[in-house]
Amino acid sequence: MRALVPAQRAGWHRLVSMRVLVPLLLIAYACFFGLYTLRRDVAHRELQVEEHVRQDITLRMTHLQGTLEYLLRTGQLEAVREELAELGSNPDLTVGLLLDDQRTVLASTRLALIGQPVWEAWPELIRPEALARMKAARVRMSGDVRVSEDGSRVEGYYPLQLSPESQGPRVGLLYLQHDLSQLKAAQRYRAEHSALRSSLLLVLIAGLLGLFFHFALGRRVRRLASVARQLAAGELNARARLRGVDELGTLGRAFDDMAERLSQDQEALRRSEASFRTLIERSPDAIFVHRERTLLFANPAAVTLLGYAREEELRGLAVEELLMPGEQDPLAETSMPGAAREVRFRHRGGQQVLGEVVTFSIPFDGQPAVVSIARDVTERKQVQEKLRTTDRMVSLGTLAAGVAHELNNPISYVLSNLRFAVDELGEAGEAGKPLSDEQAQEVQQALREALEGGERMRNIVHDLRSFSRREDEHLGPVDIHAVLDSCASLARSVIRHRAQLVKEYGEVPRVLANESRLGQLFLNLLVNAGQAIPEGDAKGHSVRVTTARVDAMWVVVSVQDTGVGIPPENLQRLFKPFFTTKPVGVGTGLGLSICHGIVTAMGGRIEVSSEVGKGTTFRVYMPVAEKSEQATRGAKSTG
Amino acid sequence: MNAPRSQSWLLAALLLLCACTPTPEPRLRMGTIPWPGSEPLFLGQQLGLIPAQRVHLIEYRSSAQLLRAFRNGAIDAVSASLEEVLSLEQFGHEPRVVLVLDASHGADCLMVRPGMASLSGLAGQRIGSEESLLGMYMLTRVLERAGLRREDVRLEFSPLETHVEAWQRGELDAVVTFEPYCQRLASVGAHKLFDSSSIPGEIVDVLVVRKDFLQAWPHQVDALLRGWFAALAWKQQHPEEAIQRMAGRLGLEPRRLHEALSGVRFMDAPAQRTLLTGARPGLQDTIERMGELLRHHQLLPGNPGQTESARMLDAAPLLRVSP
Repeated sequence: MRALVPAQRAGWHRLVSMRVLVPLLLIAYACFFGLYTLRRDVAHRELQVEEHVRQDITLRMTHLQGTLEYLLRTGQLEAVREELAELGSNPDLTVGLLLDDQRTVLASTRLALIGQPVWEAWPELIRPEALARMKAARVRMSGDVRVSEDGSRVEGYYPLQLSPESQGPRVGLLYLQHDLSQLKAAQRYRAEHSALRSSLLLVLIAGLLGLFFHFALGRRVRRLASVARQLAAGELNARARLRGVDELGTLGRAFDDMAERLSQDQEALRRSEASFRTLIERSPDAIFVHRERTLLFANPAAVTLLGYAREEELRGLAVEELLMPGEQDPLAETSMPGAAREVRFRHRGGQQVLGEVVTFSIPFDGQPAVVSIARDVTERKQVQEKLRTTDRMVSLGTLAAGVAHELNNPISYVLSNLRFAVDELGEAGEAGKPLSDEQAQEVQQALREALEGGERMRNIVHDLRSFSRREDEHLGPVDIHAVLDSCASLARSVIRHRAQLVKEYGEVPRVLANESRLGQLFLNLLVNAGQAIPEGDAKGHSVRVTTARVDAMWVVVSVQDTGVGIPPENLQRLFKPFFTTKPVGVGTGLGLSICHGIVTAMGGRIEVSSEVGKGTTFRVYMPVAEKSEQATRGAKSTG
Repeated sequence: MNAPRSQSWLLAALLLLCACTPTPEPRLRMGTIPWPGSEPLFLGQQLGLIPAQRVHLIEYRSSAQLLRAFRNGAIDAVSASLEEVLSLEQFGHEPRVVLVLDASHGADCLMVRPGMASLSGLAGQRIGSEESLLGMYMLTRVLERAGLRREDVRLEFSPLETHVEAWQRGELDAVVTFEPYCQRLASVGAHKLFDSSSIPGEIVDVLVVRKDFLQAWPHQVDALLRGWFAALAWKQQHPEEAIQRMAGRLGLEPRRLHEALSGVRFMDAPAQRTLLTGARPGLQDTIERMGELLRHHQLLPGNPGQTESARMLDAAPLLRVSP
């Protein structure tokens, strides 16, 4: 059915095409114009015929009148009859009659009528109007030639003196009837012929015009249309190559230029598309394109990330199927474009894959879609975790000497005091005499001091233990001064020989943090501060630890040293991993980067300001715990 | 599909346009004189067998007037006797004989006063005749039979119509004439002493058409021939009615007309073919004999013995109409 419709329309389409329409219009014009002029021409010619015949009959009858009157006067009736018979050679003359005063036919173009009374010979002549005209002609003695009302004939009435006037007024009548129909038909024929000739000429012109349109325009237009269709069908190397310098030729060349440009653009687009495809396919990051939570495209990296073999397996899956249960729409576009989020993907094998995802929207296949680019950070996370532990160990290593030293002193005097007490008590026992009061007091003093030393050692060990408690990641209210004191005592051995440690504690509430992490942070900062100060002038340098409340939400802890300071160009890179100014073996370069990670993970922030030669100040802002605590509690109670 | 159909519609419209008025064709103007042999023409026209829109009949009063009109080109065809045809040919009018209308077998006559018993009685008498070749020929034949010369009689040339009156006035003793005047003279007391039945095959009336008209409008001539044969057939089938219809025109009573017609032999199609076609058409012999005779009597210019051209005969219309 569908194929039929264009086929049927093709005929009409051919009709409205220029090469047919213009000649058709011309032919129609020729027809209408021909008919119009024909009508006018025919009417005009018929009038001419009437006038011409009327004049001719008038002339002939006037001539006959004289001749016949003469012949009649001389009694030559036979000659009169011959004269009338002569008229018969005109085929259009219907009849010629000569009537005497008794209205009997004296002579006629028809032999049979001679001698008959008029009412038998030619009954038309006794009709009232004919009689009236006859009478008028007789009375006035003048001829009367008229065209009949229907224009079909010319009739002439001429009075004739039948005998010499001396013999009395005998007046006869000459009657001629001339038929116009044949003459008019001939004129009509000629008019039609000339109209036909001019129409045929126009038809010829129309035909030539049609041929002109066919060859000059039609063929080229069809060529152009066919090439346009080829282009539309994707044959980009099709060209019209129309000749001619007319508008159509110009159009054809412009068309070819356009096609050329289109072809080049298409090629460029194809190449660019291929490049982008390669880019996407080779990209180490997983790229997902999805719309309305259904996956449309995934690159090989994405396929690998999720443990599939082919991209086709992924296509059409719901986004939820790619994620670990409980993920809250992590692939939806965020209000902050470009901001990375951590998303837990579900590997085909069921295990979790941690990805850092950036999501934004693009048009895909002409419709809006969402692109998520995910980077597998599972390993990185593990490495980071390991590094953090390592760093702590490194810090511990750094501290070991100091701690050993710290412990060494109490151990030595605990041991010496205990040895003194044992010796005193042994001597007294051997001597068998009790200790003197003085001796007893000395021993007591020595034991008390040993006890103090033990206490001190226990404190040191406690601090170390709390510092290295790694499994507990829980955030909770932490007394920041207690953490600072622990750190200060651990870092004392590093600082002691370089500077004086000054504590300026303000009134601060507890902060929301992980005690162990916080300890790691401040220990790092204090050790760094100590290491920034050269040895030798402990009295002239200081490491100042200050706490203060910024506002209802924040508490700030400043660690200020009077060390060498950091050049401004290094300040920018200070928190980047593996950045260090220390000699190889002294630091890992991870310290401050981990500090930064710890602070941000706990919801705080860290700032640094420094002046070369004067010292450096680190400021750590931590959120106040009370409000968060309440919020956490509220959340728990509702949970 | 549609485009050619609409184009053919246009073509049809154009054809319709040219079909509006038929090509105007000139009518064959044929001159006649009052003569019974021409009556079937008028009968045919009256009956519609000879269409008036193709053939226009003109009724001249005398053969002189008729031939004058033909010579002047006022008419295209005439009913003429062979002598007249020879004369027309002689003067370069290119007559073409397409049909033998009739052969006079008694319709041409010599009417004399009742007292005259033999042709020899004509010597010194006043003989009336039309001033025509036919009249001269007839007179010549009569004088031949009488053994007289032209100088032996007194010839009075006047139009045919006037003969009766002249006879009645006693101005003529004999008249060489033809029907219907023979009958009219008989009705006023003349009697027939000699007629064409004595010279059979010599007085023949033929249909002569001008050569150029015949070439230009052969169908008009065909129409006349067809009508002629149809009229003869009708006359054959309805003799009484035909006589009644024809009588009025010649001014004769039916009885007289019947007598007049008995002196005229009409030819049917086979007879026509014998006369006009073949390697040696019958009419050709007659024409040559006639020419010789006329030249002998110096009625026709040229030397005796001169052969007449065979081109005067044109049997093509006859063959078309009656193959």
